[in-house]
Formats: sequence, C-alpha cells, structure tokens
Amino acid sequence: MARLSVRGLRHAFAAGPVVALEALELEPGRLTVLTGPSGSGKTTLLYLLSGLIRPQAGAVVWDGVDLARLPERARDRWRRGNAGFVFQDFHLLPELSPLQNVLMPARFAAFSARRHAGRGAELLRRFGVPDRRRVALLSRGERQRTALARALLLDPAVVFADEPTASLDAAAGRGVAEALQALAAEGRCVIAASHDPDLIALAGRRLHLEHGRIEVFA
Amino acid sequence: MNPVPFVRALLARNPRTIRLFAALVALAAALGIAVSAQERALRQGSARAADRFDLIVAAPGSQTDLLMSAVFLRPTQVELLPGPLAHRVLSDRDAEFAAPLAFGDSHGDSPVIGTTADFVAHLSGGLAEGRGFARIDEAVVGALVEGEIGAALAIRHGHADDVAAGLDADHAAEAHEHEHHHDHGHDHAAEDGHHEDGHHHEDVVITGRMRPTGTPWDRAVVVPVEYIWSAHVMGTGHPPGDERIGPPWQAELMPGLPAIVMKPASVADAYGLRARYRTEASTAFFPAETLIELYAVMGDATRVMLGLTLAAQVLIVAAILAGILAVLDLQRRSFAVLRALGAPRRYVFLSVWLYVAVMVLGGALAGLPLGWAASQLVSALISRETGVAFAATLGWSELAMAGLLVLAGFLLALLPAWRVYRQPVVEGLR
Ligand SMILES: Nc1ncnc2c1ncn2[C@@H]1O[C@H](COP(=O)(O)OP(=O)(O)OP(=O)(O)O)[C@@H](O)[C@H]1O
Ligand SMILES: [Mg+2]
Repeated sequence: MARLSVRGLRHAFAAGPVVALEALELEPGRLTVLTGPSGSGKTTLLYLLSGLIRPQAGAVVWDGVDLARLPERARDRWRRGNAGFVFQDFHLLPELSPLQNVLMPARFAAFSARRHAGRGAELLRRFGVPDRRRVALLSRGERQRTALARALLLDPAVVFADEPTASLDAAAGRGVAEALQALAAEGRCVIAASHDPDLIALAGRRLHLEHGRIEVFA
Repeated sequence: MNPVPFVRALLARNPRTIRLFAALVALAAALGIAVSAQERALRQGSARAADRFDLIVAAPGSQTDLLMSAVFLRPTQVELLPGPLAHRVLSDRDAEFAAPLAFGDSHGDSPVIGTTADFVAHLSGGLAEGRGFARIDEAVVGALVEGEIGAALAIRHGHADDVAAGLDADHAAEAHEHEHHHDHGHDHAAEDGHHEDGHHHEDVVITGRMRPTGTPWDRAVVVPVEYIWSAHVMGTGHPPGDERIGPPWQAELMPGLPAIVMKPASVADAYGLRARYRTEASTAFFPAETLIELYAVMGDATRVMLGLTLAAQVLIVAAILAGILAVLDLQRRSFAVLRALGAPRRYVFLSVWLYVAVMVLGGALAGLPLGWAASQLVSALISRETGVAFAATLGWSELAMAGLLVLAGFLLALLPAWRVYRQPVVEGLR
C-alpha cells in the first residue's frame, strides 16, 4: 500500500523558519497526531503534506510521485483521489442536508452523485448522523461527524484533520477521536493536528513541533 | 462535474441580498424595455391616428402645427385658407372625397370640429349609435364624450389659448359682432348677421356617437362645418335662408377654412394633388410623412433617452458587480474548503459564474413583465393626456434588449468567477 514519505522538507514564511522535517513516513494504519504550541506550524505542515502549499525545499512523495513538483491542477487531482480533509469548524454547507454535504466531493468528479449516494448514507449511519433537512439543524458533534463522512466519501488513503475536536465538547470530541482512530485501523494514513488529550491518547505516533524543530514520539 | 448543489447552497445563503441584486437587474431590464416599448407605442399610436388623413390642404404655414390641430386636435395657431380656394379644393374631382375641417371651438375639454357627415363616416367607419347630423345644430360625438343622444351641449366659441386666426374667441361677444364681421371681410354677405343671431350661443343636440377610433377624435364633438362658420359670423357657404348643410357650397359665399382633408383615389393621385396645392396660396402634405419627419427629429431625443437608460443600466450593473464581489469575499472560505477537498479550479469558477448568471437571468425575466407594466402605465397616462390610444407591447426589440442585458450579465459574471478562480486555497482557509 502507498504511503506518504517526506524528505528534507523545508518551508519558511518571512518571519523565520517554520517547518523543517528531515524524514517522515506516514504509513497506512497509523493515527499520527501533530502537537505543538500555537503558531508552531501544525497547520502549515498539514497543508504541505496535502499539497495545498508547495514546499520551498524537499519532497512529499506519494506512490513514487513528488507532490511538491506537481502543478496545482495535478495536486487538486491528487487530493480528490487520495485525500480527505476535516477542519476545526467543520466547514460544511449549512444550507444543504448532511447527505448533500457528504456527496459534495463526488460532484467535482461527475454530474450525478447517484453512484455514491449509498455509500454517503452508509457513512452517515456509521457515524450516527441523523437525517436532517439542513446541516444547520445538527449538533456540533454531528456536524463534525458529517464532515468526517464527507472526507471519506471517495475512500481516501490519507485523512488530514486540523484540530478536528477543538470546537467540540469533551463527549463529542471523544466520539470524533475514536472515529479517527477507527479510520486508521481500517488501513488509512490519518494525520491530525490537535491539543486534545483524548485524541493524543489514541495516537499511534505523536509529532511535536516547537521552534521549527520536530520531535517524533512513537 | 455538477455545480448545481453548491450553487443552490450559495444562493440560499444570502437570499435577501440575492433578491435585491435580482431586483436591481429587473429594474435595469424594465427601464430599457419600458423606454423602448413606449417609443414604439408612440409611433404606432400616432401613425394610426393619422391613418384616415391622407392629404391635408391648408393655408401656408407649419405642417407640424397643422398636423397637431387637424389630426391630434391640439389647439394651435392656424391661418385660414381663403374661401374661393377652399371651394376649389373641396370640389377637386381627382379626390375620392374632400372634407373641410374647422376647429377652434370647444365643449368642456372636448374640441368641437366642424366638417361633413361624409368625413364622420370616413373617420369612424360608421356610428356606434344614433344617426349622423342632418341640421346645423346637431352633433355627432366621439366615443368618449359624455352625454346621451338627444342631450344638448353648450359650445364655447374659440379656445382659451386660441386657435385658428379668424375663428377667434372674442367673436362670441355680441357687442363686437359688427366690427369683427367687418374683419372677416369681403366674402361674407350681410345676411350673416341674422344667421349668427340664430346660432351664436346655441347649443347643439347630440344625434349620434362614433365608434371608438383610438384617436383624439374620440373626445371630439363633431358638428356641421356650417355651424362653426356661422358661429363665427362667416356665413354658411349657402345662400341666405338656405338651411342645408354639407356640400356643395357656393364658391362666392364660401367662408375660409383652417384645413381640408383629401382622400386621393390612388398613390399617383395623391402626389398629383399634393403638387397641385403646394403653391404660394396653400400648402399640401401627407400627415404620415410629416409624422415620419417628426420621428426623425424625435429620434435624437429617443437616442438620448436610450443613452441615459443605458447609463443607468451600466451604473446598476456596476453596483451589483461590486456587491457580488463583496458577498463572494465573505464566501471565500467555502470555495477554499471545496478546493481543499479536491475541487478543481474550474469547479469553483463554474459555480460562481452560474451563481451570478442565475441572478442576472432571474432578474431579467422578472424585468420583462415589470417593463411591460411600466410601459402600460406610461401609455395610459399619455393616452389620457392626448386621446391617442397606445398599445405598448413587448416586441422583438424589447426581448433583444433584455437578451443583451442577460448576455452582458453573463460576460460580467466571468469577472467574479475569475477572481474566485485565482484565489489561493490556503488564504481562503485561514
Ligand atoms: N501564508 C503565510 N504567510 C506568512 N506567515 C504565515 C502564513 N501562514 C502561516 N504563517 C505563520 O506561520 C506560523 C505557523 O502557522 P500555523 O497556522 O501553521 O500554526 P499552528 O501551529 O497551526 O497554530 P495554531 O495552533 O494556532 O493553529 C505562524 O506564525 C503564522 O503566523
Ligand atoms: Mg493551526
């Protein structure tokens, strides 16, 4: 199975070096949690790994292809085919139903999402999201689980999550953390930036970022 | 790729703002449509009003003035065609018929026009009720004039802002009748005096009502031309004591006339007659042609109007565009999230374009009935003012105009779409 390998990754904003990572392997089946103080570059690293930012130096290799060298269009396509994203504030379309939200990634690829409707509904069932007319009517925990279902619709090999439990209460946060761990257990690479002890406790590996240095705790 | 669900979500996000934008587009469309439909209605309405007036012969003067007074019954200053010449025109054998028109008097808001029974028939194509006038003190009224058959109408001689020289308001005053009698001069016999005594302030009795014509004549009171002549102390064109009305008149007794309508039998005759009476002593013209000349002059005003409309539309479009860009700036995270999920740039481009296009199309479609309603309203107002019936309709040019607006909107929608297309994903996620 393909894995995400990082070599000599270096990316700095004007303010100074932010991320410097000599080597990292994100192999399937493991939940990796990024920790570190605010501003330490957790989000930046997630964007680098997912091809949203092109690193100034180094390589992010997937299945023999260096994402850092791909043009934007190809990186979009890579994310479409291989990556799912979960954000702190869900970023759902509140006007649409949970299922319509979950089906969004299928809309980029095809006119009809019918082929995916069954899987979308099943994911929502699996995460215990009730059927509502609009996402705005869901609880926060339900919304984040909807976002998780959306990230999983096209069965991605890698799941990126940026503080996925930060805006949830403890119980809802635990539910999402367990779901992320379950995803890793299915054989996906799951990498989440988080301060949440519950999520950290479930991690198979922890990366700690501080002052541009990254420490790895297995 | 299917942007529809995403566009639906975007549209549902700020329904009030979007409705406002669509309403502005509708306003812009309606404005253009109303101006254009109105202009066409004016042309058609005025052309129809001039329809029955093939050729007008009158004393030398402004054709526009004559058109206004003879066809549209507006009070304007018109010279009289001298009696003998009028007689010659009226008896011209090359015309299918020729009818005198004498105007200047009024009943309330209605103009009172003196002519012949033949012309009444020609104008209205038959009466809606009653019969034509058979005596000097009988009248046929237009479709919109109030008053039952058999009712008497008081006629005021002369108009406040006066009219045909010689058919002057002051002549109504009996105290002046002799000096004015004198003014009217040489072609009157002394007998006019008693005629005038008999008819000067006399009411006329309604004997019939014309069918609606959609022209200012719907408000006219039409009387025998002899009534007007005699009211202004000019005789009747008939020997004294002869109570007959209508032609033939006697050349040497014939009073002057403001205008004569002729109906030539053929196009060749029309040009022949016009040439014959386009002399130093008289003018002859086709009202339809004069109208076209007027339109040409008005064309400049129309162009200015359309230019102003276009400027207003451009301003509206610019305001909407600025508003849309501001609204989209607030939505940038939605686009960035989709991009992070793998949406290609062209997906967000297409979505934004559709989003704007839906607003433009919806607004333009709403603008069609709105513009139609606006032009109906303006038509009704102008009809009330002029008596000319206007039917403002949506024609191809209005649809084309709305289509052009939609097209412009579609093109301009590329702008916000392009901006979102160019937005870096990571910045939008922050
Ligand atoms: N596009 C950018 N341009 C300049 N500086 C940036 C940019 N993006 C991030 N930074 C800076 O890089 C540093 C790391 O940012 P990042 O968002 O990765 O931190 P983080 O670890 O996710 O913080 P938090 O826990 O608060 O989310 C910050 O100092 C931030 O200001
Ligand atoms: Mg962050």
